[in-house]
Amino acid sequence: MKNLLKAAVCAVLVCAMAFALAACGGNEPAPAETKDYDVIDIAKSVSENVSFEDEYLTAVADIAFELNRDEIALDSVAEENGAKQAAVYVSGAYPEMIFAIKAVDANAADQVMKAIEKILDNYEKNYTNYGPEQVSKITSAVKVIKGQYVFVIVSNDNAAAQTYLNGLLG
Amino acid sequence: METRAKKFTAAQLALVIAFCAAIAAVFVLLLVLPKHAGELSPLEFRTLAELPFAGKSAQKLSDELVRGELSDNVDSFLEDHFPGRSFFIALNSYYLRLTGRNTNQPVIWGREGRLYDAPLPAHSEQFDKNRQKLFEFAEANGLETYIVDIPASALAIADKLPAVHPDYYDGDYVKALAESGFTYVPDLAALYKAQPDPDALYYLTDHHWTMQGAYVCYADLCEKLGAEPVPESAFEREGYEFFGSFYRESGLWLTKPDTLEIWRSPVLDEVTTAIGWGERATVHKGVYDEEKLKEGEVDKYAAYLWSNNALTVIENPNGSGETVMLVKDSYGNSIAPLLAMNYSRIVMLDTRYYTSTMPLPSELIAEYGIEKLIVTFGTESMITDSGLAFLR
Repeated sequence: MKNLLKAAVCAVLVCAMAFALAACGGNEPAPAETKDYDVIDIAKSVSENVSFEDEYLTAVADIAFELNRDEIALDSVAEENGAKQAAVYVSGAYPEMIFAIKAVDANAADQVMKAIEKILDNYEKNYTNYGPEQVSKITSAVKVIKGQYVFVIVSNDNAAAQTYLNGLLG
Repeated sequence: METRAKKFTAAQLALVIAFCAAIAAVFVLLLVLPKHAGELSPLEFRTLAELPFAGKSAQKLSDELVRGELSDNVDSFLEDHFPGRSFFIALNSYYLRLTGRNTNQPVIWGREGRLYDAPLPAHSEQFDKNRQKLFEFAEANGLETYIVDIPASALAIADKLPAVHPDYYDGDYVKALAESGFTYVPDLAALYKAQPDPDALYYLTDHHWTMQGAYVCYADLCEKLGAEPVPESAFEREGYEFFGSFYRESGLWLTKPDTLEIWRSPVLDEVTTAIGWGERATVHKGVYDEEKLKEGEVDKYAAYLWSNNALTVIENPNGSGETVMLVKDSYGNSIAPLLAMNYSRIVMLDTRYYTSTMPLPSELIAEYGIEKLIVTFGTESMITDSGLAFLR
């Protein structure tokens, strides 16, 4: 009986340790994907099918300026037929946005995500004092790195946005 | 043979029972007390953490578990809903204060109920970028440029600082701006110190200048802008109880409230304030959001011009006929109503919220024939805000 108890306690401790290690695992990038996505189409689809408080969420036309302003290195973004493979939607009234970017490789995707996380941090700082009800949208943002692809969504319903994005990415 | 089992004394047993009972009581209270997940905390002015499991699929939860986010979310929820949280925050703050500490970052506790911002860094790369950006934008558009960098209250009201405190460098940034070739950069700290009651120019519990502080700057600015400042006597003042950002961060819940003033004038009643642009613009009458002045509203400073918005256009049908551009952070919200007494139109940009899909500021300058640019930034925005990149 005593040995059984000891074994049970050990098992519980091992499980706890496994969970703790998993919790310390950090935001590891997913292994490289071979699947190809059209980031422009995905961003458009998200803008039309996910709930945003801002009904005027708009695609940025001058993508080079936007990426530069966001401190996303232009040479880290893939280019096809002379066009950068990136779509950014922003709101002028709420901290809502969509980033869908094809980076040149998985390492570049990590750098792109770091730059976007900096933007989210700035938004969180600005809204903490002057619109705290918006902060939870930012802190629960959908952030996905899939190989060389980066997707970030800040919406009115990030859980639904995550499900919708998962469906698009397959 | 000596026995290994040691008997507990009654006192030891009582201590163990009391300890376990305390933990059990906290656990039970945590379970039974009403939860305010996702609601705004009126004392801390922030949204309390959501239930970590609510509305999430098993897939999402397992992803969060692997990334370590689930445990962070559980921690946040437990911290925000810990029984007696506000009491324990205050207990910590008052304990620190009573034991001689004069700061609970980022707030410094001064004398006579005055709270101060912790100092900003002495150097900032973003400041150099912003100064350059403002200069280039003014040059490219042929603008007279008036830069008001509002320093921390510690510079103007130094006598209430604790005897031992870190150094403030806000004055160095103002000096650097003054030497950069702009039309006018006031030394606001010096201007404020020369006033009969500098204490009235900043809130006790908030980082902003008061309406009186904004007025002193407005009167000084008008002289340089070639405008006639409207005398203080032309306004009717209303006072509202107000607890500001320092209060929320300090944990000193027994601090007395400030009075936030609303300066009214029949001229301002005729003014219209358009927030947003194009088809999305919302037009309001006047310059104050009366809803934010109601009893129970936490952030009454948001009453000035409906708080911070990326693009606001204020129009005064009785103005001078001139349009000016005001690039601002939240400090600008209380000086803009005063400027609106003089000018026919103020095109107001908050670059912290500006986006690439909004009209180019240079297009707005051309559209409205703007010749004067006024910038009102707290030093913190001046050295951290990257949104000035939108000035193009």
